[in-house]
Amino acid sequence: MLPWGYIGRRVAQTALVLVGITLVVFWVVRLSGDPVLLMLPADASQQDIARLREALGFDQPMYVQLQRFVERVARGDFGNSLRFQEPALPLVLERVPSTALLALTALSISTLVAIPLGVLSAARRGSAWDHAAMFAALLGQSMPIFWTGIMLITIFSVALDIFPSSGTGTLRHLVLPAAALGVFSTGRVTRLVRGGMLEALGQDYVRTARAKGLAERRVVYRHALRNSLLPVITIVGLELGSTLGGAVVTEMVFAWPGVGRLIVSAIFARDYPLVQAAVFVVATMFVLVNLVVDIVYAIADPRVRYA
Amino acid sequence: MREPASEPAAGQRIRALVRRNCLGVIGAGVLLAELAAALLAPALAPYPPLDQDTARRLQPPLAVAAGGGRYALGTDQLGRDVLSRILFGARISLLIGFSAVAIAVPLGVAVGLIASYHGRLMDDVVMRVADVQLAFPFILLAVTVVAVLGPSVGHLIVVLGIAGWVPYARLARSEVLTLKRREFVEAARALGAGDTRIMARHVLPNVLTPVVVVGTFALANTILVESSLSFLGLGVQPPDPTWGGMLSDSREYVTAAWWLWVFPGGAILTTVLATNFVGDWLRDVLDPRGTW
Repeated sequence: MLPWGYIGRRVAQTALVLVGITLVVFWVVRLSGDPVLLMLPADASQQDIARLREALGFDQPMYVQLQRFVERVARGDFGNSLRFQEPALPLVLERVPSTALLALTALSISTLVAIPLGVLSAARRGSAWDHAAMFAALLGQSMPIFWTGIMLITIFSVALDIFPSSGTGTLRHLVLPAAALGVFSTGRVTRLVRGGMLEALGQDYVRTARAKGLAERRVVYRHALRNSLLPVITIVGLELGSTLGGAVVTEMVFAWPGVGRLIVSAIFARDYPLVQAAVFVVATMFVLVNLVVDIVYAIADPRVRYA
Repeated sequence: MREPASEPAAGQRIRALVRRNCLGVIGAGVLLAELAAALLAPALAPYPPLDQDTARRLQPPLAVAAGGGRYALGTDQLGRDVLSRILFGARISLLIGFSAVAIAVPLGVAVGLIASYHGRLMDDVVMRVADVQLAFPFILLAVTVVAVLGPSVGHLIVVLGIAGWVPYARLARSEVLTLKRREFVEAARALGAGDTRIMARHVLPNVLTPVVVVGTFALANTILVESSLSFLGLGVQPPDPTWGGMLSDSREYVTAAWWLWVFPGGAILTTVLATNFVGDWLRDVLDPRGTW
């Protein structure tokens, strides 16, 4: 049976958060006072400013602007991109698959590396292996993504010529950006997996398993591991946030045609409708993925529903 | 409670603790040295960081220069001394990092305390606002706000500071929720202490310990984000030297002048790693159970 009550609560919360995201996206371009000045070149004439202000509705009272904005967003309309002169949202959405591909590949790499690394570290706590793995994890967390990217390009594209340094299209194009983006989250997930494992190893059922004479191997891999893997789902879901943020930088380094690169180029082009649409889409992706993660988690672990 | 049997032997544990503390001490030392270097940058830097001279562009570092160079870490594409730029870059990175955390911590703690102490509705509202905040990747929000307000050190500090409040609010909140029911808080209340006094005297000191640890990790992360923004060209603007900006400039010289990306990147890595070491150390000392 599905935990409908819990799902209903989470969906309602998510709806509220989406409203909040809409408000932030509305408000953020108005931070400077006059968004119209941001969108025009510095030498724009007074008539140009007045015309654009009227065309975009910025001459209306704030509550009217907000009402219109919310109505339009509800219809999926963020206005036209100033640069491309076509609706902004479809421009963003067509870039979503390539960002999703990059982020999910990076997260998969992280998870596949982090789980064994973290579990072994916890199982051999205090050993040289544990110290080495924790140091590596911290190192991964401390390297700026763009620096990792430059190094990967220098080694694997320039020196060894194994993988292309930029562009997209084949699986080989995906390797370096996904690796650069994955390094950061690998460090964090490893540390969290290790923490979760150590906690599981301290539980009563582990003591029971040990007391009945099970081999340590079996205690670690059968009893503790299974119980500590579940929270990893949540960790990876939350990690998507910083991965999507990191994707902005990664896409710039590797000329990856995703939402992040679109946002940065839109910012430089002062194309604020496009920026708004893109920021909204990224935040919404994060929220929806975490909604799904939470629901899956609640189905897998009934205790969550009552927490 | 952790099982004694899962603990390593006592000797091993002490060694491990010393070793971990040793990394923490090294980290703290590096961080202090960097702070000093940043403060004394005008005195320490061998050349003015903005001084261009195309006659001496892309000079290799002293150690590898044929016939003895004059630049410890080489010069960049405009003939500026890399070491001097890294020293001055440290000022900006550390200033932004420390200031942003100094804004985020009190903001977050205050919000968390108020939220958890004033009823269910307030608590729900604040937690939903936190969800909204977390929905925006840190970098993305910073990029957007800085693009709107204009890139300046002040704007970066304010954006990174305000956007960083959530973890502290959550810590403060969860601490209050557990402390509220504890005997010593009830005793204080029975003795007639008001909300303000209970929060200031009993709750706040308990919140500060985890906040210090989380704040240290946040400092490391803020320095990373700042360097990313500068790398994207949306942080501190040229010609002011920043580590991220130096790396951005180095992209066209990756093979021709390795020192242009090795040293600024190394500076970021060293700083962030040292900060993380300090954070780990503080956590080991202050929270041996590793709950945060």
